[in-house]
Amino acid sequence: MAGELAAPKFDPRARLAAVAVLSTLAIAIKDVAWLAGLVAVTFLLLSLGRFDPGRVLPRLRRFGPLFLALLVVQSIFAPAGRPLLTVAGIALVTMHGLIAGISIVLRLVIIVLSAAFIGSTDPMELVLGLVKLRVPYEIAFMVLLAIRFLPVLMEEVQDALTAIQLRGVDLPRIPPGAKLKLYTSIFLPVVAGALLRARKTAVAMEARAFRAYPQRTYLDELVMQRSDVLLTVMSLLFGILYYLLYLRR
Amino acid sequence: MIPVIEMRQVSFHYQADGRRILTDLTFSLAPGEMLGIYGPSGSGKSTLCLMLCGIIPHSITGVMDGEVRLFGESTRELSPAQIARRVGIVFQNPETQLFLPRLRSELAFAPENLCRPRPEIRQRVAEVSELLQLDGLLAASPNELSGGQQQIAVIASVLSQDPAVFVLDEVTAMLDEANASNILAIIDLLRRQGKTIVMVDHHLPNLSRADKLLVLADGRIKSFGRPGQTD
Amino acid sequence: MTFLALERVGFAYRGKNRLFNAVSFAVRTGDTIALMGPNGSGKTTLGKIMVGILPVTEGTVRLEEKAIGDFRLSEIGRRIGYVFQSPAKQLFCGTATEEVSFGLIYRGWTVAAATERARELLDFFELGHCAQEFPLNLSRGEQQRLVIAAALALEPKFLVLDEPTTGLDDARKRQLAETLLRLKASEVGYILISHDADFCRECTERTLFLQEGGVRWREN
Repeated sequence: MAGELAAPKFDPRARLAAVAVLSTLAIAIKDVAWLAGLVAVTFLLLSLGRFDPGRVLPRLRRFGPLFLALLVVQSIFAPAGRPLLTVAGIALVTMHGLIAGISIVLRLVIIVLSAAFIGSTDPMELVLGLVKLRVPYEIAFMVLLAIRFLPVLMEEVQDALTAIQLRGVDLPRIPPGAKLKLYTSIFLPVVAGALLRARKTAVAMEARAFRAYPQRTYLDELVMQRSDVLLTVMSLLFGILYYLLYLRR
Repeated sequence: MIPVIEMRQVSFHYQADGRRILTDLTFSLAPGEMLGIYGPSGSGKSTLCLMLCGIIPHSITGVMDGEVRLFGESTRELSPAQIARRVGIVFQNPETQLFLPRLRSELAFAPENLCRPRPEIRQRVAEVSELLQLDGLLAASPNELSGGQQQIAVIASVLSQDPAVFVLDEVTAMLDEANASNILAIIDLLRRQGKTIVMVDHHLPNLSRADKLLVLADGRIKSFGRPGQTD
Repeated sequence: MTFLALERVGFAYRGKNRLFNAVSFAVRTGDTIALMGPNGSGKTTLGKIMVGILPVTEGTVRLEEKAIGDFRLSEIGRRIGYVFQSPAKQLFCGTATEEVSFGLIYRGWTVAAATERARELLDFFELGHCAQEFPLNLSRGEQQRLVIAAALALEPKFLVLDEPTTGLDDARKRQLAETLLRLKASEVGYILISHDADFCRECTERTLFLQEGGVRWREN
């Protein structure tokens, strides 16, 4: 997968443990400085997985507009503390509001970066890892199929938008209200196409005996190495320690 | 000799609209024979295929009268696992039948589902990939394969479940002439291996290799017999 | 006048092998052409470049003597109709009539006038009986004719159809062939992207073969 340089093959269970700890801390911690520390730890985790920062940062950049919108909304709707921007006597942006906005953005950054760490797992290993964690194999395969078919769904959306424009609709130039109405109308062929494709794939899977038995064999084995155990244990220890220190700040 | 496939007065309609898809189908197929199925769109060919591989009635519900028998046993009474060991099916579009990240995983999928032991699965994957000349592509993603290679990959992934019967539903429809010829050559290979084949095709000349030809119209058998006698 | 001209058009998807190189050809309005080639040769990709769905990265594509990049997709749609391999991708409306009148209403036609024109087109394509049907419930052949009717509502001079015979039985292929020949008689030209040699021979005057990265012509 793009962004990695011969990444060590961490067991998916170890990856899931690390990401679970980071995501939980990201939700539990509210202090900006501590969240920033968590972002640094996430980058450290990615470097362990030999991710090239030059490839990871564009991923964050894609979320840029969302981050900015959240920052602005939070700054305006959670006013408290010293006013930073006053309009007609109303404190529009306050110090506390700005900090709250930054906290939310940092949380999302942690989650996006953690997703990259999980996303680089070999999909079949991810299935194996989930099954080893006692997730029913049907659910594990659903996760794999969702990953597999998401790009296909995006392509279908793009095709539908192209088709609408080829019918003479100048999509970039129509008013937002009309645009929203059109997006709603392409929902139909995209969802219909996705459902049809899903049904055909489900039939093909069942014809190859999927769900014939409550258990199934796996050609590949998943064995945790020392590095995986270390990552799991260190993640859990880090999580507990970090949170305790945060509480005692 | 017990027929491999036997349909006895089979009729079917989906519960929703009640329109009969198939009416009163009766025919049988001996081991090693090849049946060609021909007919216009909407004549019930695909529904018939779904019945032969047990998807109807086990996964798709509807009202089915009559009986479909595989090696003398009714598909209603056989479990999906038992049916999958006897019948494999390949559909028209390989994109909806290849869903795993690597070809090797696709070939292993069916025997894994059938709980075959790991060494046996490894052996099946090796044998099938060698037979269909896919051994150099096992690590490739199915997305990287050409359309023709993808369809061969689907056939391989069905072959690895070692069925005695192959149902092929318009498998050459999306392929150019050269790739379609490759697939037909593989079908001939499967026949030489003793597989019983049921093949649906829009292109009648592709069915000239069949021992029997079933022509469907409006869900009924219009004719049944040797190719050349019925078309 | 040359309607569409490709000059040294090449393409490779990012990180993949080059599909074709320096493809050059020109078509006039009223021409009926088959674009054929083996699976994976890039026929669909070339079709999308011709119509401006994919950007031109190498060479030039000129539509009515202007660079295709100077047109918006909505403007291209009024000149060239495009039918995807899967017609269901292009059906958004509640009824077949709405599907055909969709583009006209967006151009400012009144609902009454657009509906009347839609009815004429549906009759032309033998879809009159489907006027109030939900498009996704129609058969593949009917969906295909419906998409062509909807494209023609904008009165383009040309159509590009991607693998139109996939999934069609012999009877419906014949019906599509008749439809295309009627279009030809109405001086609407088309490019058929297909691997079906017999169908292409019947419906087109010339064939463009895309092979080993290049093209060559053959009269049918």
